[in-house]
Amino acid sequence: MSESNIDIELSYLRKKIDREKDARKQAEVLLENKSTELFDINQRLQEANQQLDVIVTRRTKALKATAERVEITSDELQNTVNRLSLVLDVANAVTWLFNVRHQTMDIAGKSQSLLGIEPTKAIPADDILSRIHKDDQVQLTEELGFALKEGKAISLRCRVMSRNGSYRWFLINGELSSFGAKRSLCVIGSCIEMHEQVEREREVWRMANHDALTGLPNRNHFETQFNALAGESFVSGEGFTLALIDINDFTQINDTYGHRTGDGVLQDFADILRGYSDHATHIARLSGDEYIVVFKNNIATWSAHELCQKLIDECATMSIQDGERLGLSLTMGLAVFPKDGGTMDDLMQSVYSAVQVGKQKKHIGSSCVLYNSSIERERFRERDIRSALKAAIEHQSFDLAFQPIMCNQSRYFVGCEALFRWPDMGGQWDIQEVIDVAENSGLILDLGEQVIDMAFSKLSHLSDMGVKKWVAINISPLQFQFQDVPHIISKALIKYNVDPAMLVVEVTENIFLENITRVAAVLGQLTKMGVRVAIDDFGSGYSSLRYVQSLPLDKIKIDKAFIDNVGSSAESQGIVNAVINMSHSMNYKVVAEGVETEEQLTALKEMGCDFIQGYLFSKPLSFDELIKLDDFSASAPLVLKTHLGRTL
Amino acid sequence: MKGIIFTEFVELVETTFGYGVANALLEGCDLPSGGAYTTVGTYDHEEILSLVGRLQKLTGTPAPDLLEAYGKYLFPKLAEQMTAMSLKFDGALDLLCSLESIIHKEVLKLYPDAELPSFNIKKINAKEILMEYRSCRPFAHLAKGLIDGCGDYYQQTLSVSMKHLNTDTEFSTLITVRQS
Ligand code: HEM
Repeated sequence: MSESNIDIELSYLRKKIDREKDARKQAEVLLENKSTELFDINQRLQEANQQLDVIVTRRTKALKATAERVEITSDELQNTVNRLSLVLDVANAVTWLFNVRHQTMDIAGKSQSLLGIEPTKAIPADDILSRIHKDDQVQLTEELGFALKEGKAISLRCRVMSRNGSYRWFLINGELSSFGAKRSLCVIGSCIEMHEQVEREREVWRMANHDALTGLPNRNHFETQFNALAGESFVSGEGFTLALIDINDFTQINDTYGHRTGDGVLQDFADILRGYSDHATHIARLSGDEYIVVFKNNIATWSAHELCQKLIDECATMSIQDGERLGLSLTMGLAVFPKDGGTMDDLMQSVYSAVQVGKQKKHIGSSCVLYNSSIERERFRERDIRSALKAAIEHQSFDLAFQPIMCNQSRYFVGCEALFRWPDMGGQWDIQEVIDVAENSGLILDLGEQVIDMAFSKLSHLSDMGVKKWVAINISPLQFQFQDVPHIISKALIKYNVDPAMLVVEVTENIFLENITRVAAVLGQLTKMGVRVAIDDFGSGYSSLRYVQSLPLDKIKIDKAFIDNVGSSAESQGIVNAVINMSHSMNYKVVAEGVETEEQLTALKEMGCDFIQGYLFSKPLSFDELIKLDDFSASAPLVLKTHLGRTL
Repeated sequence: MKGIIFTEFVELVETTFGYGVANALLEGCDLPSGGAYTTVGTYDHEEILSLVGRLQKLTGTPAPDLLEAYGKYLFPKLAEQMTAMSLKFDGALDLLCSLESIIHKEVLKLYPDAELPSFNIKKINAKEILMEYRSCRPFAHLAKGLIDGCGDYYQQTLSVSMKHLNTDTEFSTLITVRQS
C-alpha cells in the first residue's frame, strides 16, 4: 500500500469517525426522543390499562349480577313450572299447543290419565279431533278457525273420549300465539276436565226446566222455548197452532182415589201426550192440571183440532190401577200464532179465553174450542165487566132486592130470597152475565161476602121489627170451594145477633161438581149451627139424587124452566110432580120459583108444593118496599092479594 | 428511507471498492446528511440515488447492476431483522408471497415513517409467481437483487426476469420469479 493510499485511507477513516460521531449524536437524540415517546406511550398505556381495569371490574360485576339474576330467575321459573304442573294435575287439566303449519298438537300434563293420550309431541291434529265427540267437532273447528282468522280467543265445552272409551266433558280454552325461535304460528291453550260440574249443571237445568212428576218440560222451559219458536216462525213466515189442555175437576180424582192414584193418572196422561210428539214441537206441563201442546208448522189448525179430539177420546177411556177404568174430561183451547196473538202473553190469553168458553160447558164433558174473534169480543166485554165490578166491590155499591115467598098452605109470606142488585150496572149488561163474570174471575168471593153482610143487616132489621120471616141468600160454589162459609156466617150471626133459623143458604146443584165430601161437611156444619140449606135451580144442572139424599137439606127449589110449563105441558107437570113427591119422601120442602100465572098456582097447589115464589105475588122489591108489604110485616094470616089485585 | 439502507450501502462500497472509492463517493456527492448515517435514522431516498449515480461514474458499473448487487448483499441483513420479528417462511417463494401481506406490513408497524413499495403478487403455479412492483421510487432492480439474495438465503435457485412498465407518475415493473 503506498503512502498516499494510506493517507487517503486515514483521512477517510478520520472523516468516518467524525461522521460516525455525528451519526451517534443523531442516534442518541433520536433514542432520547424515542425514550420520551416511549415513556409517554407507557404512561398512556398505564392510564388506559387502569381505565380498562375499572371497566373490566365493572363489567365483571355486572356480569356476575346478571348471572345471579339468571340463576334466580331460572330457579323461579323451575318453581313456577313445577307449581303449574301441580296445578294442572290438581285441576285435572292439560295444556296444548296446536302447531298451525304442521297441523300437529303437543300435549303436556297428565294427558294419559285424562285423555288416554300418551304425553307425546306432534300428534297429528286429526287424531285428536277424532277423540272429540261428533256433536262438538264442528264447533271446535269453527272456533279454531276464528282464532286463526280473527285472533278470537277459544272457549268452549266439549266431550272428549277418555281412556275407558267414554266421553267426558272438558273446558277448552285457547289463544293465538307464536312459539320457538322462529315465532311459528300456533294456538295455545288448556283443556280442563269438568265432567262432574257439567253433569251437575245439566241435572240442575233439567230439574229447573222439567216437571218432576211427569218429566215433561215445565212452564219455565216452555216460556224460553216459545221465544225461540216465535222467532223461527217470524223468519219462516209459517205460523203454528197451540193447544192449552185443562183437566176438568182433577182435584176430584185426588179426593176420590188418593194422591198416589192421582199422580199415576197424571203420569199416564203425560205418556198419552208424548204419543203426540210426532205432531208437536213442544209439550209441557204449565201447572197442576194445565198442559200445552205446540203443533208443528205443517199441522193445519183443522188437523190440530182433529188431533185434540182424538186426545179427548183417548183420555175419556184412560185406564188406571186396579183394573178400574177412569176417564179424564178435558177442556182444550186452540189458538194460532201469530194470528190470535203475536206474543206469548197475547197468544196465551187467547187460548185461555178459548178454554174459558169450553169451561162454561164442562159439566157436559170434554170440549175443544178454537179461538175466534167473537171470543175476543166476549173477552173484552168480560174484561170491562170485571174492572167495573172490581171498582164496585171497592165502593160497596151493591144492593139487594127481596122477593117474598109464600106458604102454599097458610097463605102467608114466610120468607124472601135476597137477590143481588147492582144499581150502577152498565145498561148493556144483564145481572146474570155479571154474576158469571164474578164467578169466573173469582170476584164472587169478595162480592159474596158483601152480599152476606148486607143480607144479615136486613135480617137483623127484620128481627128488630119482630118480623120472624126467613131470608135466603145465594152462595156460589166458588165460595164453598175457597172460603170458610160456616165461619163467615157464624161471624155474621154474632155480629148482627140474629136467629140462625131465619137464614136459608141457597146453593146450586153445581156444588156437587166440587169435592162432595167437603161439601157435605160444610153443609153439615151449617145445619148444626141452625142454618137451613136449600138447593136452588133444581133440575137445571148436574143433578144427583144420591147426593140430594145424603145431604142435610131443608128445601128444594124447582127451576123456573119447569114451572113455566106447568099447567100447559103434561111432561113438565109430571117432572115437577115427581120432584115434589121425591122431595117430600126425603122430608124436604119444595119451593116453586118463577110462578107467574093462576094456572101454575092451581096446578102446584094440587101437587102439594109447599112454597111459591114469583111475579104472581110479588116482583123482587127493595127492602123498604118489602117491609111496607102488609102481608110480609104482619105475623097473623091476612087476606092475601096477588099483585094483580085479585083476592084469593 | 430508513438508515439501514444507507449504512449497508456504504459498508458494501467500503468492502467491495475500498476506502478510496468510498471517500470519493461521499466527498463527490453533495449529501444533505453529510453521509453521517445511522440505522435508526431516516433520510431522503434521493441520497441513495445520488450515491448509486456517483458510484456508477466512479466504477463504470451500471446503476441497475449496482442496485442488484446491493439487494443481494442487503437481503441477509434484512432477513436478520425478519427473524428478530419472529417471521419464518418455508422457502423463497413462500416468503415472496407473504412480502406485501406480512413482511412489509410488519415493517410498517416497526417504522411508521417507512416508505415501502406495493407488490401485487400472483401465484402462477407451485414454482412460479408474478410480482407487480409499484413505487414512486425507482428501486425495481433493488427488488431483483433482494429476490436473488432471498434465493441464496434459502439456497434455492431462482430465475428472475423483469419487464418495466414505468409511467410518468409511477415506477412499475413486472417481475417473474421461477424456482427450478
Ligand atoms: C425478497 C424480498 C424483498 C423485496 C423484493 C423487497 C423490496 C424492497 C424495495 C424495492 C424497497 C425500496 C423501496 C421502494 O422501492 O419504494 C424496500 C424497502 C425496504 N424493505 Fe424490503 N424487500 C424485501 C424483503 C425485506 C425484508 C425481509 C425486510 C426486513 C424485515 C425488508 C425491510 C425493508 C425496509 C426497512 C425498507 C426501507 C423502507 C424505507 O427506507 O422507508 N424488506 N424493500
